[in-house]
Amino acid sequence: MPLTQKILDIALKYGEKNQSEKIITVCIRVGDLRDFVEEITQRYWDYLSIGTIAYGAKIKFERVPVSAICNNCENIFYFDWHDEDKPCCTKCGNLDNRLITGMELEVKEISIL
Amino acid sequence: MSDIKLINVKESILTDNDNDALFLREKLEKENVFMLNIMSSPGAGKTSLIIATLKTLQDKYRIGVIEGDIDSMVDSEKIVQNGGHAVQINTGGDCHLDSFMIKSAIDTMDLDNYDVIIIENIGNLVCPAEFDTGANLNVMILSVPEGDDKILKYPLMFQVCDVLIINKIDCVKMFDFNFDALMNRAALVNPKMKIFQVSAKTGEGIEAWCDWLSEKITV
Repeated sequence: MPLTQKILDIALKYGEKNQSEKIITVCIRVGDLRDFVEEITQRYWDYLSIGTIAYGAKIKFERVPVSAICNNCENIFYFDWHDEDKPCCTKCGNLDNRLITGMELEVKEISIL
Repeated sequence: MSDIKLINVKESILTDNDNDALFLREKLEKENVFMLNIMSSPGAGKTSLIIATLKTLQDKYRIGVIEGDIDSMVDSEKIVQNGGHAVQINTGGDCHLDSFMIKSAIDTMDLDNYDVIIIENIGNLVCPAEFDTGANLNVMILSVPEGDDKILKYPLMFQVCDVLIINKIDCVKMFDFNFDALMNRAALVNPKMKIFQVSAKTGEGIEAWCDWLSEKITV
């Protein structure tokens, strides 16, 4: 809920700055390594936004999949984080990789009336 | 009828907290105080590890503890009973400590009297990972009975921590804890994370942890 409150604060700030009568949608970019559940976030939103221009707005999630870059050949590849084995580069098979996406957390855009 | 307008935002959800944390980190640096933030699930051994750390390092550093709990003074009382100084934050429902709460606690402390502040965050592997407290070092405790697969369920916590302390290794024979599986995943999500195996109960591994911590404390 604290993070949903932060999303609401940002949406209201931009809504007011743009003299909005109503916020229709809020698009957030969330990496797959973040602990966000869409239904619960919307439920928190519906509760927290009561009495504001954001009440009734729909939260849209833009999920960012987990990807890594190979420290050997710099190949970028996506993988299933839940696999038991350490992910290996899809090009050279190297096991030495580092994460590059999956941690995103931002309000991307809002639509307003 | 009004037209719908699309407003480009691209703002991190945690900007305000991150700014407060940055301010706090700079303030503590000026005051020569080093702060570490200890996080874990409930019952992993945060208070026990803090007490073991206090006992090992209290002749070397003046240590204060900020205790975060939804309710009660239980952990603060334990710290005081073991010779420590504690400030209690009761969040009244919030499941994490943020930089504003930590700043409020620090404002009640005379920083001239401390070299090190240890934060005991709320027992939770989700929200505390999201909120920078202004600490110099983030430490996660994973206890053996919780299992090696916590990194799959709560990857962010492992990603934001500088140190992973695997606690309760004295009971490792009773559980199917796969160290290799944990290390493989940790190496990917956070290759720079330092890992210690300890038992806060028997003292095993505490000296190695405290020696390493002493090297990191730059006051």
